[in-house]
Amino acid sequence: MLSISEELKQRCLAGNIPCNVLIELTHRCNLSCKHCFIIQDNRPELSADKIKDILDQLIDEGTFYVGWTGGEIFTRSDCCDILNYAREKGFFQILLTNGTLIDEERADFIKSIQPAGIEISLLGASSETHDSITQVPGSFDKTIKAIKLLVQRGMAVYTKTTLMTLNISEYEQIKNLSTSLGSIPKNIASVLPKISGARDPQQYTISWHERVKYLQGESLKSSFVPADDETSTASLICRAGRIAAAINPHGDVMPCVVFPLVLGNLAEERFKDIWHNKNNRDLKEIRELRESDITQCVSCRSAAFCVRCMGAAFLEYKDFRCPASCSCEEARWKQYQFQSKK
Amino acid sequence: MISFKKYVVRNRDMIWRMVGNEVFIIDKDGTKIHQLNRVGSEIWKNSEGNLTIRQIIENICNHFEITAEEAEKDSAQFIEQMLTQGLVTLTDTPVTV
Repeated sequence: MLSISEELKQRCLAGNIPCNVLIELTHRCNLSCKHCFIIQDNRPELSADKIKDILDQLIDEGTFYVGWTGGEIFTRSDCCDILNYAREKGFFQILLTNGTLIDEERADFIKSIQPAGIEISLLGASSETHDSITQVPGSFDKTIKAIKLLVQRGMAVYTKTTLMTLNISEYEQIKNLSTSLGSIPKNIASVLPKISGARDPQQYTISWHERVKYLQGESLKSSFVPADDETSTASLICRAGRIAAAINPHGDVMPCVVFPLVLGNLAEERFKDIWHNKNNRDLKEIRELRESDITQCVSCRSAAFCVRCMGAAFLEYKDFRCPASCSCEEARWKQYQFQSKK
Repeated sequence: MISFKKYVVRNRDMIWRMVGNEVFIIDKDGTKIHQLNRVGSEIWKNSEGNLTIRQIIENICNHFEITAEEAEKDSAQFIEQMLTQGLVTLTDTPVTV
């Protein structure tokens, strides 16, 4: 017999109900991280009123969880107004931020909206490392201060670290720093290409040798986006486009923030009409995709360990049916660790 | 036995959505999920604080092919369960959710 949460998930899958929606409030950011996958777009951002209207639409669509991401969400002066509206309307909110714009007043505000999760990017255990990645001096101190302010207020804070050649040697210290601050470390060892498909950020991907040296026996996140259950079970097909959706700052609806296949724009259409458009071939293909269709992956000997990111495949090859190099590496690593234990 | 003159008010801390024809409710810390059947979902949707239990029962009779007696019994039982689980409260006067 299914648990109710599994029943909910199955119902959502059966009806393509977007119970998780990640909204990029802005692509503006006060940091300039070397591995960032965002490409600036000069189109205007959605207004706060429009975002509130979208939230109203999402209630009718069955969305429980809304993740807010950027850019840096707090560079928007109306960010708190939007988050407060989402709180009033009854959403589980997950905030993804670099923390540098969180002072005492904002920390109080964040506590008041009772987010289901807060993820703060922590890219090093020292200001030298962190600031060299963000390319903004002083960002490490501000991020640490934000973590402390939120933890002091009793909130569950996750630090999110993309492990790269630039910080892997500090892996243990990053983890210890996060724990000592009262937060929970989440680490991911994969780097995405840019939204344009450019591979520049992936130059920082750690080598196999570095994995063996620093990550032996470690549990890493496989998903680039916050999952509602965080159980990244092996699967060649993810939730994107089925029970997970994303909206960029310009109103484009996409399967996921890392899967920028534009399905429609909310300035012109309602969410419902985009999400349930039976004439959209891309959506149809995503939703009808079966593991057996992903021929290259099905026959892979690491398939049983793979949490394939359809977005990464799309970014790398403009085809979500392809293997994604970061997923392949992660699957091989998991298999290696599994076999090492035996 | 609860009084049918009372108004039923949903707990604002509960987050709920219609998923297909049924209501799923998640408590605010995300740890407990409630799934309501179609009749329960209809009662839940009517629990905005502006209808008495008697009025809700009338609505249920209009929506589903059940007798008034069945609707009374099932609805009262269901509302009592929701009360026990903290999903709703009862008031003597109408309120706005």
